[in-house]
Amino acid sequence: MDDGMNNEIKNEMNKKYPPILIVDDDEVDRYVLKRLVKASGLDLTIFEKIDGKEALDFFEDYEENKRLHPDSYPPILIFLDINMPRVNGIEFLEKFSHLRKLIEIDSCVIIMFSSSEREEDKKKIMAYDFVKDYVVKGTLTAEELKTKILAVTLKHQ
Amino acid sequence: MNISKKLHLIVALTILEISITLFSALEIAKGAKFHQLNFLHLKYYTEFSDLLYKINNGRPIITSEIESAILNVKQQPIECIDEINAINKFVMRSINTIEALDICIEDIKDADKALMSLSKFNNQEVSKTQLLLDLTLALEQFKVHSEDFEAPINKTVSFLLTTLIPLVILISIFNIIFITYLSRTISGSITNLTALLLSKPEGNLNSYTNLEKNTSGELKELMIAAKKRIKEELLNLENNKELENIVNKKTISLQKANEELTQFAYRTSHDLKSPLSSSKVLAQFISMDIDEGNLSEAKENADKISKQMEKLETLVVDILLLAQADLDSNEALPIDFDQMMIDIQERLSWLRKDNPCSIDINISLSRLIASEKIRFSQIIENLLSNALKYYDTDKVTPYVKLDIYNNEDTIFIDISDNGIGIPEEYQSEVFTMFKRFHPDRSNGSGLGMTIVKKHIDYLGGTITFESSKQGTIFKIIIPMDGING
Repeated sequence: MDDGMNNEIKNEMNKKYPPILIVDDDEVDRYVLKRLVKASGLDLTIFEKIDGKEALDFFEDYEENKRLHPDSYPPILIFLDINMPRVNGIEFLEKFSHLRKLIEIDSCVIIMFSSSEREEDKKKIMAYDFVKDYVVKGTLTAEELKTKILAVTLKHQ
Repeated sequence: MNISKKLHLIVALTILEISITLFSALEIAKGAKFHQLNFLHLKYYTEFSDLLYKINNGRPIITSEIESAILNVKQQPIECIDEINAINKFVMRSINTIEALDICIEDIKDADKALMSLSKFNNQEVSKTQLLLDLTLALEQFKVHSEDFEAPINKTVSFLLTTLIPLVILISIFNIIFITYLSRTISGSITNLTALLLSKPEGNLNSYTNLEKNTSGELKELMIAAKKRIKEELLNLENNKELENIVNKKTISLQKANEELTQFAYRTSHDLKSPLSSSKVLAQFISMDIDEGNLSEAKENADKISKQMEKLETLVVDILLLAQADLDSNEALPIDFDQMMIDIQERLSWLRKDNPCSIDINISLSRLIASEKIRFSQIIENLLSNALKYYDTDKVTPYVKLDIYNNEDTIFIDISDNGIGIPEEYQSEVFTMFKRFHPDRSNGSGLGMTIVKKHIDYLGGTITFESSKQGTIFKIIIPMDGING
């Protein structure tokens, strides 16, 4: 991707402050991701939820949140952890796939963000067409993050 | 009557039948013998009569010739008497034919008289005329005897024929009928038993009881033995089924344990790795922050690393505790619960900072408890720390209450609080490892309640709880014999 193109996209995205959602029970992991987003130079609106249950509530209260965040709801991308209390990442995906049919979030896609590398989970997770990528924690650089975010959000628009 | 007795009876009846038949045949044959002897008697009488006729007509008297003729005649009554046995005498007496025997005796006496006369003649004690007179008299008698003898013998023989033959026929008929009956009862019993043994047992052996009542003797014994054998077979079958069940249950529990272990290995490796990878990234951030001169951010990140390390430490400690909970340590020492509570509260002092909960502890034990202190300590510490962590900020006077008491054979530990409670949908997973239900409130390892459960299981006790938004109460019951062992 050349710089010209990059700038163009950046400008485009700057205008809209595309909203993303980070779902992770670990405060440090959320911080790491936020800082990487910042370092990537992308200017995004970031929501944070501490587990799958909070995240589901965030989507189930669609009207309310639409009213609260008229410009930035619903998010277009979710970074989703797997091992979380109450509703874990895998359970979230299943419920989310039903929710997508009910409310206007079918353009929202997911990038997994987990330290788990269990193949059977990965297979199950990647079977959802709205899951676009699987990133292992601790391996991601700001540049890579930028590429991934742009790839999924651009395809979208 | 059992089968062997029936068979013996059949043999005895058959022997009796044969004996009577043989006896009858012999008796009837004896009748013929008497006729034969009488015929001989007549023959010798004729010879004797011829000789006497010749002597009367001038033949010289040869004593030995006369004596031989008399002895010939005498021979038949002797043989006749020899033939007649006690049974013959009894029969003959009964039918008034015993005179045949008397005739024989008379005949012998007459022969003896003739011989005596002959002997006297030899000694010249009697005259020739006298001798001839005596001999003629004897001859007369012999003739009369032969004629008289025939009638009683005929009567006796015909009596034997008319009694013994029907008797034999009757006994034979009786035997045929009785033996047929006996063999029928024997084969009937065997057929019943065979039918019984061929029939399928209907779940239990009660259906055999009726047939058992209807059989007897050896068949009953056979029946009982067969029943015993079938019972054993059924028992074996049941045992096999039971063993199969046990194996199935064990397999399921092993599979479950295996799954748990896999889950455990996965979760621990994940949870061990997670703070390490975060720390690695945070260290990179610190380096960048220092380069950028952003020291306050660097310090914050250093604190974050420190917290990650604490988290790691907690997890490692909990994993070790969980592993130890499965081990036998066998150190049953008297437990000082008061001191234990002081130690626990000291260890939880970090939690009590900025924590408004009051702690109310009541220890009322009527006897000394000797057990593995570490298990009790970890149970109480985990539950107490959970109660403190999840207090309800909306309640005016948050509290935690701990009661330890006992009766004869049980120790009770109740820990209650008015905290936020365990959400109903997660109550079934309280003791599952790595489960946490309040992600915003704490960052434990998720192993605490698993450790508690393992200790209580080890001590043979139970743990139950009730929880709502009003609070939670955990009730632990531990049997005394579970801890003193």
